[in-house]
Amino acid sequence: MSLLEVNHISKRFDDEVVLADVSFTLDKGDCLTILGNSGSGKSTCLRCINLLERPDAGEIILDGQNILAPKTDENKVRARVNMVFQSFNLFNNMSVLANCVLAQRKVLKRGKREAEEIARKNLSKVGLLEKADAFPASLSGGQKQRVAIARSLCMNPEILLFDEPTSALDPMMVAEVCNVMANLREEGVTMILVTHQLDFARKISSKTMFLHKGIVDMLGPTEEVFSKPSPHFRDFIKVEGH
Amino acid sequence: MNLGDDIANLLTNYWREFLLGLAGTLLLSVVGTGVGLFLGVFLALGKRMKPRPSDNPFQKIGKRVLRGLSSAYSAVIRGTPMMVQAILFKYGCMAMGVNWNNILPGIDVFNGWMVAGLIVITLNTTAYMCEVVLSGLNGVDKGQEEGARSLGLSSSQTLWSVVLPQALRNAIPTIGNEWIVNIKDSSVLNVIGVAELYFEAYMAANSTYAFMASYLIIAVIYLLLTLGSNLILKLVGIKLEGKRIFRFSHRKGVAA
Repeated sequence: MSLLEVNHISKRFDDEVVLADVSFTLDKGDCLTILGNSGSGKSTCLRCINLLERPDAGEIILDGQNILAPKTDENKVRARVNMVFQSFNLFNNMSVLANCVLAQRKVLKRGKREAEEIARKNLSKVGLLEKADAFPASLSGGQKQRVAIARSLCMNPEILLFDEPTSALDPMMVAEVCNVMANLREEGVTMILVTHQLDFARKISSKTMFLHKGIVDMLGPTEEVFSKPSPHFRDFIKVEGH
Repeated sequence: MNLGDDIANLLTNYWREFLLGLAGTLLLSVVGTGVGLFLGVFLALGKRMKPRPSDNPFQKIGKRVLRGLSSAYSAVIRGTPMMVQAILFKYGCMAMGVNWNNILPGIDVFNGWMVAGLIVITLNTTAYMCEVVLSGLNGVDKGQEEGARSLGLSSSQTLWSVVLPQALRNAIPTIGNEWIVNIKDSSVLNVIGVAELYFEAYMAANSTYAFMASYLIIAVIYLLLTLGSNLILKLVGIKLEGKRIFRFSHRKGVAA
């Protein structure tokens, strides 16, 4: 059984169809990259898995449980499937350490000392232990994103979702965030990545899905998808890869 | 007697009354603003109530009712003068058999009317604070909430730990303004006999017939009070800014 099964999900905003019958599976340790033009539904797809959006139809099965079922505790699901955002979304009113501790204490009910220990461990993993007492406003974009990743790691998520994590960063910082993600990949963290960094996606991911206007245009092992691109995907590579 | 003599005379013979008035005005403005802010937060939350698809029918109705009541309260209070509210409160209470004159009997200055005044100014400020808090909440970037929810925090945990502290932090200048408004507007509470600055000036003026002098004195006191509180607010602002807790602006997290 796969860790995550997304079965025929559809989503529309008003009259616009954003996702149409999207299905894919993810096994433990997989890294899936979702590629697509702006407005192809890739971010929405990710947000559905984190339940920040609800699909209009279909089912999402996490470890055997349909998380779209009415009785599901959304907060429990979100704690298991964490999201890293393009705009970081660090809590501005808290130090870096407090950012990493808050959800551990409130959601996982960990003790203060344990939560801080785990926070420090993950901050050092992303190379920012010395910034533990800093506030987000004093960090660079790349540092903010690394803190956001550390904050998610503290929750021991079963799947880590990355929604264009490097799109708001300049090239130097992109590299530092990509390095962190590559390290996580080596550790076997299961992840889904939405990105425009084609080379990085190709290097890091085991599976690739290409969405075109909300429809799955290509889905398969990364090398297979890149070596036999569909016409739409070929156009996409031409534009994105310069 | 000329104006200068009148003022000197009043300050010599009535300084105690003016000081009491000053204390009354400060008490009204500080309590009204502080408690009003506290209650205003809850009123704002009431006004923001939205039924969720997952709510049961009772929750849905309850939320709609709370929302309606909160909005109505804010509209009525902000749509009528505090002076009228005070007088309605006085006679309303009397109609229900409560005469504030008989509460705390034997106390000359901060008597039952002061309690009534504190209630009126607090209930009045609550409505304004509700709007201040609401605009503070609206000013917090949506991403803050999403960031918290995506980690599994519930909506109320998100509100109390992440969104509200930032909303209040951003609202500090407006909250300070409300305090200054209250220093001045508490003067209307003289209509129900609350012993604040204007009331004491009125009493002094009527005993001495030094009307101009008496009201000039409190005008200067009001001015000093508002200038002083402005200074305090500025210092608080600088202190918070100096601590770099976080910025007022909510630019999206785009790398510099």
